[in-house]
Amino acid sequence: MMKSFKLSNILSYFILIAMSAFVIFPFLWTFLTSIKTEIQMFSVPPVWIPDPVTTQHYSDIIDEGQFQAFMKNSLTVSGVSTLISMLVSIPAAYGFAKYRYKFSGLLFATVVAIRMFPPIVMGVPFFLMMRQLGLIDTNLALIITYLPLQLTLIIWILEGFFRQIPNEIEEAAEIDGLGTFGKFLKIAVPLSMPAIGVASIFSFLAAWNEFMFALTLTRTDASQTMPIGIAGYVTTFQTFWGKMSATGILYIIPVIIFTIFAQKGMIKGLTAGATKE
Amino acid sequence: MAVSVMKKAGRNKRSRRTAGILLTLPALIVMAATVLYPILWSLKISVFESKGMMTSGSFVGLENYINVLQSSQFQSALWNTLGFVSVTIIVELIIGFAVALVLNRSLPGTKFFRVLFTLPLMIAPVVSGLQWRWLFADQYGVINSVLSMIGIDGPLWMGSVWGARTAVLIANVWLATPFVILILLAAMSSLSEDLYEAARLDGANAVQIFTNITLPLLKPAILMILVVRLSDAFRVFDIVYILTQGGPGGSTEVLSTYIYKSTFTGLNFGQGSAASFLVMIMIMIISFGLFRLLRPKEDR
Repeated sequence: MMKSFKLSNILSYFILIAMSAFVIFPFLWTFLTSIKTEIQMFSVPPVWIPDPVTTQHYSDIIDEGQFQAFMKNSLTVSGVSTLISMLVSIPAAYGFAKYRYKFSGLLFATVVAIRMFPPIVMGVPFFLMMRQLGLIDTNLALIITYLPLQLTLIIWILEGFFRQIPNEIEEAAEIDGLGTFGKFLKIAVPLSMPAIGVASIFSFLAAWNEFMFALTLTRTDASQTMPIGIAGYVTTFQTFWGKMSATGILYIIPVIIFTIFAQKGMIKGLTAGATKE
Repeated sequence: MAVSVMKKAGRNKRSRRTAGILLTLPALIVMAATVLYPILWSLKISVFESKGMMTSGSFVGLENYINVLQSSQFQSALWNTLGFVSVTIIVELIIGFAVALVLNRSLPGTKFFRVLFTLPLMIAPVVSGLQWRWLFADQYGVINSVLSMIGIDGPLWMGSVWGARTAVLIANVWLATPFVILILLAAMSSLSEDLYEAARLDGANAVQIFTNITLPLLKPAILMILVVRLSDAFRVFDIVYILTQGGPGGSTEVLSTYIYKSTFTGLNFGQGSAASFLVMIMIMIISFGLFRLLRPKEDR
């Protein structure tokens, strides 16, 4: 009995460690590449521990100035689109959760269904639309493009949370004289603050990580975001693995820190649908 | 004015309806402008002939759709996608189940692993694609170096059909398995311990408990994983574009990269739009079928 218990523990840790190695290795190798000299990067057999350590790639990308441009565009686009999306979709999620009107169920189902569409479906019309509006290669084009992606995500996450607020609390608030607007601002929003935080992080990440629309709608570093910038270091014509790695590390570090700090809430947000009735 | 209307919203039905409309209207307007309008535009383009960057050719009815369906590139992209979708989901489910079952045992240290395994979910697919492209590089890639150290001649990953397909699969499994783990884990932790206790008293072994209790109770979670991962895998773009660009010889071309190429490289907006709608219809049919198939019997 004791022996089989131990055996299963050993097997469990074996699975966990194998999975960890699989998850960590790409990060680790990218980081190591980012602090290796070109010679060590391409040496056979591979150099595991960089010696000497170099910060050349980091100073290169910063000196070239493109990194700052990509970062600024990514922050602007992700920040502004998240802000607009939150302002519009928090009330909408509350409305869908607590109020019924003709077709409201159908409209909510449509919003959720849009999440299933492959984004490339929107690629053609968005490109034509932005070309006609003269917005190709502007931050505004991406902000507009990211709104539907974020709206559907936020409404989907928050509707469930708003629905869980007991009706008794709302009724008590009505007796205290609060109208719809008051109930929303003074009860629903404060009670759902953690969920709203999670939704805004996911919404921000959706824009922060987006590649395909950015690829079709941006041309120069006036509007190119980080994913486009990083991909630009490794193309058919040039391969700067060092710069790519350094940029990649700087790009994902904030995300990793965020994930570690906010992980409880984020896991809750991700799995909201699984435990939903 | 909207605020004063909303303030009056009391318990009567009519003002509740008004409140619901007012709360949801801004989002619906944004959705109409950014989804409905472009989709209708795209629908219109798909039934017109398009010449280069111009989209004002003559009306051709379903010709674009027929051309797309008959093109061998679309067909091979479709088969590649279906193959990719099924293999990736099966691999993810197997790894996901193994890891989630272990994490659910709450051994010491599992909290740390749980955070660690969430990380790939938050990372841009582009970065993951580039990381794997560097790992799989033919000459200087660390994977082939390690393989040669143990006496195996690594393939030219991106130059061979199955090498490229394997690379795309591994990169995608890396990105998406965490989602499967998290969903399964959330569902497992909500299962009642009493059931397991009763089964153990009845003398069921671990395998019987898994197949007769855990698996059936996890059906809703598995359904959710299938639907979400299916639509995700169907739209895979970033990883393929970065890793292989659909090559070699179209062997990793998927629907998204096909649509992208025929639209923005081939500059055929009509066919690109038509292909988009065909993909949309396919995803709708498959998701609907899955729901019918896996939904518990009583609410059918």
